[in-house]
This record gives sequence, structure tokens and C-alpha cells, in this order.
Amino acid sequence: MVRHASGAVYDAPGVCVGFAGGSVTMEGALQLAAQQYGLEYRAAYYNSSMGDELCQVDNEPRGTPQGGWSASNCFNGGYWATYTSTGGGPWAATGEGISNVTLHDGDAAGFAYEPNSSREPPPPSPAGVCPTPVPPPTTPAATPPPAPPPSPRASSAPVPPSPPPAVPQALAPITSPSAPAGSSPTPPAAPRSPFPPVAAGPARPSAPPTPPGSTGYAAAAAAAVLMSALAAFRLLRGGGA
Amino acid sequence: MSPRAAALWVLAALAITLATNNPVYRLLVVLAAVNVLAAAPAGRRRLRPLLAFVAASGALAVASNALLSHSGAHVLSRVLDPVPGIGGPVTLEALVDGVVIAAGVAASMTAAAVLAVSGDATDLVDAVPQVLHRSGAAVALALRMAPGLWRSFVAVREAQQVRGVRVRGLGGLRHVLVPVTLSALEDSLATAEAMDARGFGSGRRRVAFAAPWRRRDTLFAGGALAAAAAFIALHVGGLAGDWAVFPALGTLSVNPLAVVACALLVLPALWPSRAQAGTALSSGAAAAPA
Repeated sequence: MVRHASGAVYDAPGVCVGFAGGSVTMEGALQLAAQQYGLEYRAAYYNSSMGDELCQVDNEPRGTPQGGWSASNCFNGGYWATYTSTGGGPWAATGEGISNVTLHDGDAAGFAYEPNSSREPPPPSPAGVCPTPVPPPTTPAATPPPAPPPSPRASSAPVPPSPPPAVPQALAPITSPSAPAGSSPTPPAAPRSPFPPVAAGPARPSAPPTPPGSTGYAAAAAAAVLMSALAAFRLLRGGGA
Repeated sequence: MSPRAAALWVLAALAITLATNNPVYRLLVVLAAVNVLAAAPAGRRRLRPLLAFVAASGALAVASNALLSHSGAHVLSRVLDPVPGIGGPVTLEALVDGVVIAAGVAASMTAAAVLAVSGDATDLVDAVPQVLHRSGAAVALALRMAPGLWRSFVAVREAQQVRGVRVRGLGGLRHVLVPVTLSALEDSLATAEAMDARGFGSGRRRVAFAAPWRRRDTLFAGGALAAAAAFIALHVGGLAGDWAVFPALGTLSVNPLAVVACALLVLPALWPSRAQAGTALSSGAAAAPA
């Protein structure tokens, strides 16, 4: 789910992609979204611990820096905050690059652009946006799967099946598009998903933010005050340091 | 606290410090270590210079990280690009990362200082396993040299001033450093001869007066190790996570259970032994006959 700084959501209420295997990286999910929905994005290698960072999504921020996107200009003016959600739950901010975040069946990935001048909320709640994934049948089907129902949001198949590609889109190879910094190519926009495009509108009320752990802060403050008082008592009684 | 218990306490404190980059937990370790140091006269005497050194090291870490690390989304200012090494943006994230590093340095230094005041050099050598006695002896001798060198430096400087030698600037410093170096070499030779005369290295080292292990040592060491184990379990389980500083400051989450684990390190300061009325934290050192 991609939320622009203006509050607009790309292909609201969000897009769903299918993938082979049990998991996919956030970068792989973005590439699938680029293939299946034409979502534009650019990533750049940041460092060995962070991996690839997201620099541009759906042409925000506008333009391309001279020389392409790289670690030195990826966050100029703002950055794409990345979130994950499991089972439609609240968003949790990720602390790693998009190549290091792993998504599983039914997980949601959120992207919100935060200009340096302001703090933006996470994307709208992902609950109910995508159909519940159904485990694949244990025996291979001899006949092609039935045509999807008219409303793909209610479909049990998470992979958009139209138009029928030679290789199922879920099996599309995921390659890192950002190996050379700033040169991550957006794959050519494939025919749009059967999910009807929805004009970007005002964002829905955002999900309640993740609790900041006020109990932890209170406990830490209490421990710090008590230990400081004890140390001061010892130093004063013992004649100072 | 016996040197062995102090060594285990230091091990636990360092494990917590190095397991996370969360500055809240690291600062709690600093406070716990300061309390343990303040519970003994030897620790109190060393606290002021130690904190001054920690503050200087922390300031250096913050400044160098802010100038050398150009990562981060929020640019505060910009140093001219042609300046080698430090040229580029100065970011809020790099500055905060420097604070995080400084908190780690402070926690490590104050925790290690507990070991330094837990007894004299002999107690520290006794605290290490038999196979490490030679290494322990080398470390203990090196540790003992540091204050000796400082005392020698002060004495030579005062003597030179009495003689009318101006000890100022780099030029005047050589009037002190040369005698200090020569006397340090003489001391080293004398120490080596003394060790040789006592048969160092000729066989298994014998301990004349081992610091006794008491129930309170079990409590302190066990509590510290349990605290470290609980903290690491919380960290591995994702409940006491790191703080994501780059590319932009993430939410600083604090787990109350992890706070309790850090606070457990203060146990030795709550029940200081009577022997701490002496010069060391070690009860064995105070009880040992002269």
C-alpha cells in the first residue's frame, strides 16, 4: 500500500500481488507490483547492513537526480517510510532496507512518503484490502483453474490471472533491480491487473499508531530516578566522588 | 564482592550493553555501574576521573560520527565537500547515532571499572582460571603500571619545578617524560627480577589468600547473569529491539521487562559488604592478613 505525502493512495485501497513460495522480500513484492500494476519505483543500494533503500515510488519525489539514485541522494528532501502488517493488523515500522524485509503469505507492505518538513502517518489500514490467501491444492490440477469471479477483491486467488502470461506471474523471477545504484529499472508496465483501478482519493482514517511503549518509558524513568538517587546518596554520605 | 563475582557481573553488564544499541538500556547499565562503584570508597575515589574520561570519550564519539557519517535523511548542515573525510552533509541521524555509540562506550567503561576496583592485581589474577594465570599476570601488571606511571609523572614534574625547570608545552614535557620513561624501565626490570626470584613460571601458581566466595557473591553474580540471560532472550524474541536510527529515526521502544533486567545489575550496590569500608570492593582483600 503506497501512501503519498498528499495523502493519496496508489490504486486505492491498495494492490495485491501473488508470489511463488512462502515468502518474498519487500523489494520482490515491489517488483511484482511493478510487473502486475505498473507501479514505478526506484531503489538504491545503501550499505551492507541496510541493504537496498527505497528512493522513489510512483514518481514521488519527482524527477531523477543527476547521475541516478544512489545512497547519497536517496533521502534528499524526504524518504519513504516502510511498514509491514500481518493479518490485517496495525502497521509496524521496519528498521531495515527493502531487500532485508521478508513478507509472508497474507502480509501487507506499506509505504508512506515523509518529507523532511513533516511527519506523515502510516498508510491506511490494510485490513480487508486483499483476499485471504488460500493454500494451493495438494494435487496438481489437470485443467486450467476456473476463471476468476467478477470481483477480484472477493476472490480467493491472490494472483491476478489476466491476461494469461506464458509463465504464471506468481512465478515471475525476482531479481534485485538495484544492484547498480540508481539504475534500478522499473519493469515495463504489464497489462494492468483485473483489479479495477480506483482514482486516488482521500486516504481512509489511518490505523491507530503502534503503542510507543509508555509502560517501558515509565519503568525506565523510574529505574533511572531511583538509581540516580541511590548513587547521589552514596556519594554524599561517602564524601563525594 | 569477590573478584570472581565482579568478573561475572562485568561480563553480564557487557553482554547487555553489546546486545543492543538501545541507549535507554545502555544508560541504565551506566547508572547501575555508577551505583556499584559508589558503594565502595575505592570506587568513589575513581568515579570523578572516570566520569570525566567517559564524558570526553562520548563527546569525541558524537563529534566524529556526526562529521564522518553522512548518512541520514535529515540534513542539519553541510560541510564543504572539498574538505577530505568530513566534507558532506551533517545529519540528525548521524548525530543521534553518535549518542548511541557514546552510550555504549560509557556503559562498557563504567562496567569494566567495577572489575578494576574489585580488588588488587593479585586478586584479579586469582580470579582467572589456572590456564590463564600467565595472561592474567601480564594484564594485572599492566594495570598496576598505569597508576604507578602517573605517580612517577607527578613526582618528577614537581621535582623539576623545584629545580627551576619550566615544565610547559611540548618542549618542557621532555624534561619529565625522559626521567619517567627511564624510571619505568627500571621498575619493570626490578619487577621481573622479583618475579624471577619468587619462581614465577616454574610451576603451578599457588594462591596464598584466596578471596572467599560468599553467599552474597552467588546472589550478585547469579542475579547479573540471570539479568543478562533474560535481556538477551527478550532481545532475540524481538521484545527488546534495537533502535533504528537510519535512514530516519524510528520509534524508540522500551520494554519494561528489559528495564527490570537492567535494573537487576544494581543489586551489589544495595547490599555493600562491611569489608567495603576498606579500600577495595573485595571482601577477601580486606580480610587477608598483611
